[in-house]
Amino acid sequence: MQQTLLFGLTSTLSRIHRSLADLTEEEARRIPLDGLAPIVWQAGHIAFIDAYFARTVDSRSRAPDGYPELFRAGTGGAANYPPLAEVKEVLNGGQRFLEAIVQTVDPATPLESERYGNAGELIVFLCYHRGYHIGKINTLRALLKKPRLFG
Amino acid sequence: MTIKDVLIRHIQDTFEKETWQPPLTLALDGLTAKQAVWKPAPERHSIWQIVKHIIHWKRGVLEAWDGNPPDYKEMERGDWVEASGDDAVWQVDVQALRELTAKIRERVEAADETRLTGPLATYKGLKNQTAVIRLMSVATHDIYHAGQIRYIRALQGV
Repeated sequence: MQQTLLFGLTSTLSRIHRSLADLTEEEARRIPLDGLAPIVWQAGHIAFIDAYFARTVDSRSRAPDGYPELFRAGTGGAANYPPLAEVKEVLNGGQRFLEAIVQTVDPATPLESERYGNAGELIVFLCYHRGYHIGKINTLRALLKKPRLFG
Repeated sequence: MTIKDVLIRHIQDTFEKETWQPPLTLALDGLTAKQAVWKPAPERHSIWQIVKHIIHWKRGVLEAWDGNPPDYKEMERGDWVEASGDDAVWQVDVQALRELTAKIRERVEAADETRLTGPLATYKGLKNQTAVIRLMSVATHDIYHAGQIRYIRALQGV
């Protein structure tokens, strides 16, 4: 079980980083069409959601100041986003936190949430949440005429 | 909680059960053939092509599960075909996607822990993968394309 959950976390994080690796700050902030959130938002949103929902297991999990206002669901327009390098570091920190949860918490531990019932389902939820936004990032990459990375 | 529980939850949430974000079937909901065939640019893929791409690789997974792993290079050659037609043809492909996913889920439900955690010959001549890891990847592939499809829809205003 642990290996499967860790695979989900590591494979999605590596795809996020591959999707961000060749972007300039300007490209990460560009909004190609009203209603689409820029790539830096997609990455910051993943980092925020990872930290937000990890709190249901461990209350020490915390996104940086300002992240809730910038990256919660429903935001995403032009804003004063942090540099992409900072967002990547927050993602890496969140990853370490989640991996520690997988390694130390029984996946059957019940949790109170509408979206998952226990610690294992929390990790599954965060993995597919990441996958969804990786898809959006890659459509945005296409609009920026960046090379296609995945299927 | 078992590996099977995790896997079935992942397959449900990425394909058909609305939770935090729309799963693949909801991302396709209500689309016409004309909308499905639209491309943001000539060199980009349409939603219909994405659906055919997902069908193609899910068929490969099913063949591997049933003991007939496909040839990876042949799979790649057959990927990303052009797609067009009327609403009836489009719905045939949407239905094919639903049926394939249901078959994969049936196999997972019927499998025991040993089968799920054991090796799966995914492609001829390539290294085996654990079945559960392969199936997790397939489900994540669904939600990845659901995210893409949502933005291709947004670009069309639908």
